Amino acid sequence: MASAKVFVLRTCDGETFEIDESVAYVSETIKNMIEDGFGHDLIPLPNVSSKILLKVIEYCRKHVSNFESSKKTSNGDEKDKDNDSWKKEKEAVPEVEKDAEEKARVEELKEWETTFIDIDQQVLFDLLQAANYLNIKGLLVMAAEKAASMIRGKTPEQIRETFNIKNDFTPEEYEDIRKKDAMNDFTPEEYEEIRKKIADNHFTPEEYEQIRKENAWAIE
Amino acid sequence: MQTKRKLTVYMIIDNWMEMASSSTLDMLSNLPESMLNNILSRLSLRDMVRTTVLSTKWRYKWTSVPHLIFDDEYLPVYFGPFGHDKLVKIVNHVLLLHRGPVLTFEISSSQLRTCSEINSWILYLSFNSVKEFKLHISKSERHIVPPCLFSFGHLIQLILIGCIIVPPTTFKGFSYLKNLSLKKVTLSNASLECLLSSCPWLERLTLIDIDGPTHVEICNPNLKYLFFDDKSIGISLKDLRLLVYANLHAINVAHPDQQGTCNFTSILGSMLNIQKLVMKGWFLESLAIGDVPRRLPSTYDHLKSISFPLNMEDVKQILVAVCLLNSSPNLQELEILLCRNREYAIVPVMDLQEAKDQLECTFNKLRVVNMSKLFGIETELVLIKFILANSPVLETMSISPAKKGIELTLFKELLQFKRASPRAKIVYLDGSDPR
Repeated sequence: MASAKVFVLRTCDGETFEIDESVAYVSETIKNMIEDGFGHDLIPLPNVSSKILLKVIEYCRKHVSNFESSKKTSNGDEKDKDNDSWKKEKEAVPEVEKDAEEKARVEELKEWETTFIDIDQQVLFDLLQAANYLNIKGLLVMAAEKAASMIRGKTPEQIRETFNIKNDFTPEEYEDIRKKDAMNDFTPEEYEEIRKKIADNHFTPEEYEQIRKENAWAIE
Repeated sequence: MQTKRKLTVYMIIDNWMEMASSSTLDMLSNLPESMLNNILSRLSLRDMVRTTVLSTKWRYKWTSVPHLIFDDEYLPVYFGPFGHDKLVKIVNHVLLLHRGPVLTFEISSSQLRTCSEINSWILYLSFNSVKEFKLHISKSERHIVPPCLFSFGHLIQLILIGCIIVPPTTFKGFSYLKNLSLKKVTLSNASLECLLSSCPWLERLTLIDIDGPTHVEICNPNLKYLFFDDKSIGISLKDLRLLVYANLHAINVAHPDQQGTCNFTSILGSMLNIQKLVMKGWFLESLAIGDVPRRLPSTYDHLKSISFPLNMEDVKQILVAVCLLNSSPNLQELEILLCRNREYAIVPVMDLQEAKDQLECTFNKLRVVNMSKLFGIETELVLIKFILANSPVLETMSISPAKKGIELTLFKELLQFKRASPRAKIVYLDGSDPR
C-alpha cells in the first residue's frame, strides 16, 4: 500500500547509506529504532564502519528476498525464536523433500554464503561484532560458524598461529595444564592412527609407555 | 548543541579505534564473552577444552560455555575396558571446572554404562536451569532416572534413551517442554500419561520401543511432529490440528467418544495441517473400521508426502487408500509398500472395480511415486495405470518387485501404459535393493 520507505544510516566514519524498509528490518536493532520513532533523521551507527556496513547491507538485501519467498513455502515450522543460534541443525527435523525449484534456490544461497564469508580475519571479526550490535541472527550465525571452522580440529599451536595468540605460559605451567586439563593433545587424525595401532597391537614398548604416561591422569 | 555532541561522539570513537588497532593482531582473544561462547559452543567438547592451553588469558574461557555435549563424535572414543571410567572422570572434571549456567547437557557416549555418578551429575544440573537434557545409555541395562531430574523446571527438550522412568508423586509436569523423546525406556501407563498430559506446549513427540504401557492417548494441542513406533501399543489421537508430520507404527485405537463413526475420519480427520504422513504396520488396516467415505469432508491441502503399506487384496484397505488420495489434492510424493495376506486370496472383481471407480482425483502436483514389493496382480497394475494417466507433472515412478521372476512381464506392461506427464520416468529397482 505505502510506497517503499527509505531510511538513511550513518556509519562511524561519517558515510551515509540509503536502504529500503524491508532491508532495514532484517536488523532487529534498526527495526526497533525505527519503531521507536528514530527513523525520521539519520540513524547513527557509531559502532559500524562503512566498509563493514556495505557487507551487512549486502547480506540484508540477499536475505530480504529469501525471507519473502520462504514465507510462501513455509512448512509451519517457525525457526527457533529462542536463543538457539548456536545449534546447527542437530535434531533432524523431518521435512518433505523439496521440489527442484526450491532445491536450486537453497543450493544457490549456500554458494552465495560461502563466497560472502570468504573474507580475512579483520573483516570477519568486525562483521561478527556488527551482526551482534545490529542483531542480525543469520549473519551472526554465519560469522560465528566461520570463526569456529578456523579453530576446529587444530592443535593449540596451529590455533595460535592462525589468530596470533601469544603463548605466555612457562614451560612447566604448560606441561602441567596440558596433562591435566587439556584432555589430550592429539589431533583427530593422530588419534585415529593410535586407535588403529592399538587394535592391531602395533606399538613399540616405548610408544606405549609414552602414551600411557600422557594419559596417566585418566588411567590412574 | 548538536555540533558539540557530534564532536564528543567522534572523539570517543577515535579513541576506541586507536585502542582497537593496537590489538588487531589477536582479535579472537579480545572478543566479548557472549560472542566467544557463541563460537566455542560450535566446537566439539574436545576442541573447546583444548583452548585452555592457548595462553593464560584462555585458561578458563571455555568454562563459561553453557552447552556441554559428551558423545562419540565430540569425545575421543576411548577403547578398552577403561572407557567408562575415563568418561566419568572427564565429565566430573568438566563439571567441576565449569562456571555459569548450563543450558544444554547431553551425554550419549557409547562407553557410558549405568552408574551412580550419572545421578550426581543430574543433581548438580538441577541447580542449573538446564533447558536441554539428553541421556543415552546403550552399553548396559537401563538406568533408573533419579527424582531430581523431574525438578528441571526450565526444560524445553528432554531425550531419554535406555532409561527407567519413575516420576515422583510430587511431579507437576515440565511446563515449558516442547520436545520429548523417549526411546527404549521402561515406565508405567500412568507415568506416561502423566508426562504427556502435563506438557501443554509440546510440539515434538517421539516414542519408540516403550516398555510398559499398553495404551497411549495423544491430544497435546500444539503438537507438530509425532513419531510413534511401537507396534504393541494402542494409540488414540485426538484433535491434533497443528500436526505437520506424523510417523505412526502402532495399533490404532479410536478415542472412546469417537466409537461408532468411521475410524479414519475420526482419527485422521482433524489433522488438516498435515504435510507428511507415514504409516507402518497395521495402522492403515485399523483405520478401515466403519464406513469409509469417498473423501473426507475437508481436504488435506498441505499434505505433500504420504507413505503407507497396503494390501491390494483387501477392499477395505483400498477404500481407505482411495479416500486418503482423494482428500490430498496437493500431493507431491507417494510411497506404497505393498503386502499380501493369503487369507484374501479370492476377491470379488466387482468390489475391486467399485473401489477403483471411487478414485476421482487428478494428481496435479504428484512428482515422485515409489511402489515396492509388487506381486504383479491386476489391482496393482490398475492403480499404477491410473496414476500414470492422471499425473501431469510426474517425474519418477520407481517400482520394485516382491520376488524375482515377475520382472519382465510386469515391466513390459507398465511401459505400455499411457503417461500424462511427458517427463515421467519409470525406474526399475532390483528386488535385492536394500530398502
